[in-house]
Amino acid sequence: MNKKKSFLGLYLIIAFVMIVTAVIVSLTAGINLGIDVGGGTQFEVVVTPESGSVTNKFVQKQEDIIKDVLKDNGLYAEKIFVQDKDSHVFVVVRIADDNITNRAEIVDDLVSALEIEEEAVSEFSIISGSLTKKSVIWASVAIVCILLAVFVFGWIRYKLMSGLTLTFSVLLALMLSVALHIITRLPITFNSIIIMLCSAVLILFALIFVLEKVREISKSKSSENMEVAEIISTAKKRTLLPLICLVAMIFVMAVVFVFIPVTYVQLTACSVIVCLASIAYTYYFIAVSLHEKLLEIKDATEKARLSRDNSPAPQQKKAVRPKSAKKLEPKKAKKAEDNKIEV
Amino acid sequence: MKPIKKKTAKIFIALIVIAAVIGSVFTFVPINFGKVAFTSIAGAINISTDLGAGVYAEYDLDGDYSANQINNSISTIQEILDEKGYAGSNILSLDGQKIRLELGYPLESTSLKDSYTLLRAIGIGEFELRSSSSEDDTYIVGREHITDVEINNYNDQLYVVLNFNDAGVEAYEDLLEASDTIYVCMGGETMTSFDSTNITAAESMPLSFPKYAEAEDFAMKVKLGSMPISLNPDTVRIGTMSSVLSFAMYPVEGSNEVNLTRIIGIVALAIMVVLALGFMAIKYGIIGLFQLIAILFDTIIALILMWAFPWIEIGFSSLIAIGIGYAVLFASTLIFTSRFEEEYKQGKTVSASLEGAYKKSMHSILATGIALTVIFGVVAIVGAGELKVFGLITCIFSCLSLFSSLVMLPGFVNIFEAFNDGAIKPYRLPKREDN
Repeated sequence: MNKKKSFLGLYLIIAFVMIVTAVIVSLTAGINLGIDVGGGTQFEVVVTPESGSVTNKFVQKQEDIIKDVLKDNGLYAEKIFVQDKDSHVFVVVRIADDNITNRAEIVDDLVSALEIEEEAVSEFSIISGSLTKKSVIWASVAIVCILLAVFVFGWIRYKLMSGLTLTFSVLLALMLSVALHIITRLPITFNSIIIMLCSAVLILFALIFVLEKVREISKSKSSENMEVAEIISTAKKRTLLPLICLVAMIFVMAVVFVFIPVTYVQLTACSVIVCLASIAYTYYFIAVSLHEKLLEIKDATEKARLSRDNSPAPQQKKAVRPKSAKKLEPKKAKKAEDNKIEV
Repeated sequence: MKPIKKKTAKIFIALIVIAAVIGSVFTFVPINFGKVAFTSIAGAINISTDLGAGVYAEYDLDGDYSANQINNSISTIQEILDEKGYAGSNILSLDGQKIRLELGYPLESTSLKDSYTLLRAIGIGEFELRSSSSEDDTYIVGREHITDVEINNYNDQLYVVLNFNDAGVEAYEDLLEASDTIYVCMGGETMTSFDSTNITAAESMPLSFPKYAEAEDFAMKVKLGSMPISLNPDTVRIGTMSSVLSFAMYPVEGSNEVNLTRIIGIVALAIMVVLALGFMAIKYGIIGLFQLIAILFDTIIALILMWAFPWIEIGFSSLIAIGIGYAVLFASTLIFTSRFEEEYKQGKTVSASLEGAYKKSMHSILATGIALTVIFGVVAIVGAGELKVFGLITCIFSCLSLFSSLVMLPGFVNIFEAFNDGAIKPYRLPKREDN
C-alpha cells in the first residue's frame, strides 16, 4: 500500500497559530464577553404613542429606531424587550459594554430620533454578569476532571495511545472553539459556553465511534494483512456518514437561527457554526491522523525494543561472561551448528 | 435479533399503533371535556423568559454591600428559584444598588399569581428572632447568626432546623433566658411566635411543622431573610415583561404572546428533522419511515420526561439542547443502518445483514451513547439553572438514542421482515452481482 504524505504537522501548526493569535488578541483587545457572562449596561426608554394605546407595531418601530441609534454610536443591543412599570410601557435595552463613554450623546440621539423628552430615557445602569472568579475556578476544575475521565476511559477501553488521542483532541477542540470566538470577536455568552462544551463532547462522540470501528476491524480476519494506517483509514471512511449527518443537522439548525431577527439568537447561531468548524478541523485534519501517528510511533518503538532483545546474545553478554566460559563458546557453537544441520 | 413470526409481528404492530395514538393525543392535543380541560403535556412544560413572557421585580438593597456579598445572595436566590422550578430565571444586580429578578410564566397555574407570590416572598426582608415584638429585643439576626437552614423528618414529625454560628449559639442562649416566648419576625413584622419553655440551648433550633409545604415555605423565607444582603421590603417594584428574546412584542399574560424566537426555534428543529428523515428515506427507503415512527416515540418520551422533571424550564439553550439531541439520535441510528448496508454489500442476505449489523454496531452505539449520557448526566447533576436543564435534556436524548438505535429501529425492521421475505427493494439497497 502506498503511504500517503501526512500533513499532520502542518495542521497542528495552524491550530497552534490560531491559539497563539487568540491569546495575543485577548491580551491586546480583550475578550468580548456577552451580558450574561461579563455584564454590561442597561437603560430604559418610555414608549408613548401620540394617540391611542401601545401596539406591537409601534413598539417594534421604536425598537428599530433605538437599534439604529446604538449602531450609529458603535454599539449594539444584545437584548431588547418590553416591560410594564408604574402604568407606563418601557423598552429595556441591554448592551454588552459596561464602559460606555458617550452616554450623553446616545441619550441626545435617542431623544431626537424617538421625539421624546430627555426624562423618558432612564439612567444607564451597570448590570452584573454571572462570571465570578468562583465559577471560572469551578469550570476549570470541571474541564480538568472531564479530560482525566476521558483519558482513563480511553486507556481502559482502547489502550494508552487512544486515551492520549481522545484527551488531546477534546482539549484541542475546546481550545480551538474558544480561540475562534476570540479571533472572530464573537461575544462569549452563556449559550456559547454551552456550545463549546458540546463541541468537546461531540468530538469525543466522533472519536469513540472511530475507535470502536478500529477495534471491530482489527478483530476481523480481513485485517490480518492490513497495516495500522489502512485500518484507521477504513474506519474513518466507514464512520463518515453518521458524523456528516450529525454535523449537517446541527448546521441546518444554526442556519435557521441566523434568520431570527434577534441579536442574541444570531450570535448564538454564529457560535454554533464556529464550534462546528473547530470540530470538523480537529476531527478531520488532526485527531484521526494523530491517532495513526501515535500508533505508528508505538509500533516503531516496539519493533526497536524487539530488535534490541533479539540482537546476538554473545555481544551483549560479553562483558559479564567469565573468561572460562569464553573457551567453551566455540564448542557450543559448533554443537549448535551440528544440531541445526541435523534438523 | 431473532426473526419473528407474522402473528407476533401483527400483535406488535397493534401495540405500536395504540401506543403512538394514545401518546400523541396526550402529548400534543389539548382536550376539553365540558368543564374539565386537559392541557397537553407539551403545552404544560414551563417556559423561561427567553421564550415567553414573565414577571420581573426590582429590589433596593438596604445598605451598601460588597460585590462578593451580592454574588453570594444571588446564588442563594438562584438556588431557591431552581428548587421552585424557575431554572431559567435571570438575576442581575443593577449598579450594585438593586437586585433584579426575571421569572418565566408558570403554565400550570394559568396565571402569573405564583410568580408574583414568589417575588413578594423574596423581598420579605431580614429574618429575626426576638423575645418580644419590639425591635430592641432582637437577639438572632439571620444574616449574622444563621449558617444553614434544613428540613428534617424525625419520628414522623417535620422540622425546620436553623443552624447557628458561635455568636448565634450565645445569642440563642440569651434569648431563651430572656423570655418564654420567641417571636419570629420578617422585615420588622412579627410573623408568628411560639412557646420556648421546653427548648434547651444548642447549636441549632428545630421548629416543627404539620405540613411539608408549610415547612418548605418557612425554610425558604429564613434562607432569604438570612442572605448576606438585606432587601428593602417597602420599595419592591413588580411588573410584567415580554420575553427577553421576543421580537418587539408587547408584554401580555403568558401563552397569548406570539414569540418569534420560539416559533422559528421549533421550525428550525422541524426542518432539521425533516431533512434528516428525507435523507434516510432516500438512502435507506423504508428505514426512513421506521425512523419517523421512532422519532415520534422519542419525542413523546422526551416531552413526558421534560414535563415530569419539575425544575425544567425551556429556554433558548434548551432548544439548542433538543437540536443536538435529535442530531445525536439520527447519528446513532445511522451507525446501525450504515452497518446494515455494509453487511449486505459483503454478500449476506437481508436478514443476515440485519442480524450482523445489530451485533456489530451494538458496541459503537453503546460506547458513544453511554459516554454522552454520563457526561451530560454529570453536567445535569453538577450544574445549576439553565446549565442543569441543558445537561438534563441532552442526557435524556442520549439515553433515547440508545433506546432508539438498539431497540426501536431494529425492532421495527424485524417486524417488517416478518412480512417482507428478504426483498431488498424496500431498503433501496444497491443490486449485487449475485442478485
